[in-house]
Amino acid sequence: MLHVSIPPGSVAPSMPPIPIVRYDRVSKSYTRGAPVVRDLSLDIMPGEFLTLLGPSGSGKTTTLMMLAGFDEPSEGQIYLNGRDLADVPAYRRNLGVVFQNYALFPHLSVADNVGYPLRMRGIRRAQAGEKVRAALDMVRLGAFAERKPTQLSGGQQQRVALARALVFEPEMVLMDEPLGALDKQLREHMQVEMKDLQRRLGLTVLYVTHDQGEALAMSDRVAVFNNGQIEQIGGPRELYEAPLTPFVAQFIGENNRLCGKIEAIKGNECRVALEGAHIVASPVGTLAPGAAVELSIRPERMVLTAPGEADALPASVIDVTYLGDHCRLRLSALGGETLMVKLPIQQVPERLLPGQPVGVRWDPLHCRAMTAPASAAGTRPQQEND
Amino acid sequence: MTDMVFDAGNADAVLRPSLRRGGRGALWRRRLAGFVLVMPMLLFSLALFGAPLVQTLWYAVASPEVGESLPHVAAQIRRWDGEGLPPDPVYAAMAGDLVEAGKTRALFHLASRLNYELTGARRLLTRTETRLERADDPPQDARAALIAIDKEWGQPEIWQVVRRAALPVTAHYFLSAFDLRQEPDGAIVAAPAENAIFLNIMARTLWMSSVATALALLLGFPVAYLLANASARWRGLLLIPVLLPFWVSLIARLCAWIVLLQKDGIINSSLISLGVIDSPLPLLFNRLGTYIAMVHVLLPFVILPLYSVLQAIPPTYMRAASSLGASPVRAFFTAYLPQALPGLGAAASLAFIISIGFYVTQTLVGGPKEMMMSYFVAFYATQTVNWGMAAALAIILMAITLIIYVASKRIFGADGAQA
Repeated sequence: MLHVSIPPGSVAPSMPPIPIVRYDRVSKSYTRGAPVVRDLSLDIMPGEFLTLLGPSGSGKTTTLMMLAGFDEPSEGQIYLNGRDLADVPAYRRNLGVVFQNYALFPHLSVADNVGYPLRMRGIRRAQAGEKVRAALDMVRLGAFAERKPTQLSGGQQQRVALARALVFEPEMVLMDEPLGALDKQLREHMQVEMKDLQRRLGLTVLYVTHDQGEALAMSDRVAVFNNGQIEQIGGPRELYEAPLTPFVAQFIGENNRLCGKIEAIKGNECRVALEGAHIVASPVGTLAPGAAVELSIRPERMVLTAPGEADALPASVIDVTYLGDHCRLRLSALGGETLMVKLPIQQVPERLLPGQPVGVRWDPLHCRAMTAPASAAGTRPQQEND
Repeated sequence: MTDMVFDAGNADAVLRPSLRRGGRGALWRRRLAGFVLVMPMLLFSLALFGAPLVQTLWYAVASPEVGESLPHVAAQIRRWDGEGLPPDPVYAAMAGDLVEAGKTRALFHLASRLNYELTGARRLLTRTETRLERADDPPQDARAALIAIDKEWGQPEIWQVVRRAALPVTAHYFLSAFDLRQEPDGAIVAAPAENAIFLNIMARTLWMSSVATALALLLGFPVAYLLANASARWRGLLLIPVLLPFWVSLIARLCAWIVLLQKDGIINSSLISLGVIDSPLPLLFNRLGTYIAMVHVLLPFVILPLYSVLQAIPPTYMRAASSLGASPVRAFFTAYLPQALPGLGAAASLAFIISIGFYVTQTLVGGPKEMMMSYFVAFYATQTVNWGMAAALAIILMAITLIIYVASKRIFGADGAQA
């Protein structure tokens, strides 16, 4: 095995936990156009599954490729186990990389593909053969060793790529949209399988995706990227329940967005004036009266009431979509705003017709008031989740 | 009517017969139009490629001379079993036919043809003809008369050669092309040293083509690699010098090489004025000059197919190899090059096939030791009017081409199809 030698003195004092990777104020810009990554600082802890989530062009892949060694930071340093990677070429970094299209060598058999990193490290044939067998068994492809990659299905190729990235016991594994080329069902299956493998082997994983569902399902932490910066980083639940910016609220899960102005703040509640209504919400961050805010309410946090009930917003039904386990309602309220409501099937009234007046209510705790972005167009994410 | 034509179960056919029929007619018209469009090219190829090819094949084995100039001998000698000397009627026919043949140029062709197989046959025939003509009357005893003119007529060799040459086809030219000859008694032996030049020429042709191909690949691969990995703008600029040779005639390019390479040419004079060399380097009319000109002609044919294959290899493979611990050089040889092999094979076989047919290049910038098979095809066809020999060499050249084509398909085509 190739060990990255760490010169004495360059290691941070052994006060746990030490990050395995540290991005220290890293920027990346090309000669033309806006910087792709801006002033990024990020620690990756040993054994964690960290996902970089964001729309295309947000800098997440560049961030991963700089760690892999295929892109150089324009500014800042990246440390792996305390060692500055600036002068370490990609092939000496000892990182397992799984590429979007797997990049399995078409001229080599499955076993030779998996054995490739061992061959490059000069490991003896017998020992390498054993490791290859173990790695292929690990991804349950032991019977396919002699096939060519092109003779395998997409999911099998993905698993070969995984085995190849793991067989040489790398410091950590980087994955660039590894499930992007698979269909939905297989993708969900592979999510479970990869998460299981990561837990079992205690792997540190840096994962890049634009699929928020994938990010939530697999990650210990998710860093949401927007315009080359991390908009918010945290656990899946934190990101979903407590987004700090409208971008994060919009990008992860569905939400209803309403624009208004702060009228008054009292403790952890504020009053927001909208067109024709006043709404009580939870302020996020420091807000002052008069500030333009965006309200975010998750569709599943909305409750349907009888029309005219106290504290309920009057609305009328636009349409109802039956989805088996739940129903989606589109309501018209506040003079033309469309609200999306997600109701468990047992809470859906029996007769609900388009045009019918209803009331809609929510806990102010789940109505988050966040500073509205200066130019809404620039930061509005394209929903790419499916 | 539609029910008869179309399966009744085919709802589409039953419901929309008129549409179908229209579709059929249209299809036929399209096919006809396609055929008409292809016709000129097809006729052109048949007339100017197919027919000459068949004729060349025939020339390489045809043996019409005896039948044409000695018709009676040809008829009589068939009855002779080839043992000892032929019977009297053959001698008589020979005496008669020779005089007849002497009145036209037929004797000249016959004499040349028989001389290929039996040295001295030309002299024997012309001498005999002259003597017979001078004698005026046909001799009573043809056998005695002929033997009296020349003792050779009393030996079996000339008769055996005539008998074999009277057959409609001969292996003579192909045997000669492989430095073999058939003895009058039918045994196949090595040709005498002064005639055994063709194996040497064949080996030289294959060797020089291999060297030129290898050099073109070595020089062309980096260019193709650069082209495949350059940005669109640079690619456009790089393609211009690659394609430029196609816009300049071969002769003009060769003349340019002569200007550059000759004894007091640009290269030699600049090297001398720079003090690198004292006396001019021999760059022209030798092997070196030939290789330079050949490689220059071959380069575009190597670069373009290579480029199209290299372009299809995504850069991810090099990255993947690198992430797995391969240094750039190892990544290139273990991950990139194997995928470029089909392209290399295609480029190599194309360059080789073009090389073995080179003719003008050697003639202009090579010396006598650079002449390859195509030169000898031209030599036999235009200088000695030995169509049989020219055809046999041409056929062998074509066979080599076909073998290389099929072999490269087998080796690179089958492995190369990775999809």
